[in-house]
Amino acid sequence: MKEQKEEQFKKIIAENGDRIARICRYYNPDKEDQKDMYQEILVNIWNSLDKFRGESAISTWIYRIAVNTSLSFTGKAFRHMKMQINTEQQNLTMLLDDDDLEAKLKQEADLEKLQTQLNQLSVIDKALISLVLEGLSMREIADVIGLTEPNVKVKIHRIKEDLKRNMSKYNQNS
Amino acid sequence: METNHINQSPIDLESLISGLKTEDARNLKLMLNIQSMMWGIAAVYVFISALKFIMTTSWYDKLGGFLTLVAFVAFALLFRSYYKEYKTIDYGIPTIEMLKKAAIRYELFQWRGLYVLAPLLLEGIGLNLMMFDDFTNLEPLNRILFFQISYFFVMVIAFLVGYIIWKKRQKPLRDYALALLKEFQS
Repeated sequence: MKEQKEEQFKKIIAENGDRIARICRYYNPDKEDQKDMYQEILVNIWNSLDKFRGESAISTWIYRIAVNTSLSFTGKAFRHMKMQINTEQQNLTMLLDDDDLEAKLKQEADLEKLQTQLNQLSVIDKALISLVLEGLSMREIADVIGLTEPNVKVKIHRIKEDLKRNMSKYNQNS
Repeated sequence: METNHINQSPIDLESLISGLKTEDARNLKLMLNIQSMMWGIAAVYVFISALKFIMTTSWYDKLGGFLTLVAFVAFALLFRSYYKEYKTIDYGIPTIEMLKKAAIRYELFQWRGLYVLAPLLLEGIGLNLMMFDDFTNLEPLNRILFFQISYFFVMVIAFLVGYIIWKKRQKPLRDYALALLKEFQS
């Protein structure tokens, strides 16, 4: 039984380790903090593994644990968590689908501006955006968070609009 | 393939698994030890109560001992269920559900908290009956009042200590969970 759990755990980490590491990077710019959070997510996966009945996709279950851990990450000032994005992030265009802005995003300066805007989001909005950046559909995000799909759509639309507006203002002023 | 992925992990997975298994074993052992201790004490108490029941002629002692024993067993069962609940927080449920559960778990007054009142009442009556013959210098009514007032005072102190602990440790968690819920649902 114990061996079976260990094998299942290793398999989950082997298949989802990158995903977990990315979530940790979204929330913590500091490498040590990322490592701590990664470890805490793994501990919570281990502790919740006995209760996983396969009712949701394993990826959804992993995202739930990652988001729930990030919201209750011990020893951290939640509100001060910084969202960390980098140029390798392929899904950034999902946040700002305007052609001009998309082109500008390729420039490092604009990326920094976007990062500044993302860091000003509330912890809830950061959680939602982190799932958008992961390429999850609205249905999947709704499953992870436990909101209805229309509700998630409205929230994400609102965040994107705010980001776009703030980015435009930022560009006009500079 | 799998090994490669595990090796790329930012932490030493094998050490972590080993630590988690040790922690699981420790928790299991701790729970078994607490349960064994509780049931062991209950068994000794049943034995003493049985002896007292046979040897004593006082019905106060007999009834008091029985009520205290029932209260003890009820406490043991309640604590066991609380321990199980607190030990098994599931992080794999939707975030909203987790936050709602956290808000309920860290509430000061809970409906299920009323269950504790039954064994407390039984213990109060039981101990009172058992000590009834020890204060012969007092009138019967005064003996009851003296004990019940002291018992009530001890319970108030216990509640205040519990309240301070709740306010310092659990209230901030509840407030945080409620604030997040409000933000999610706005």
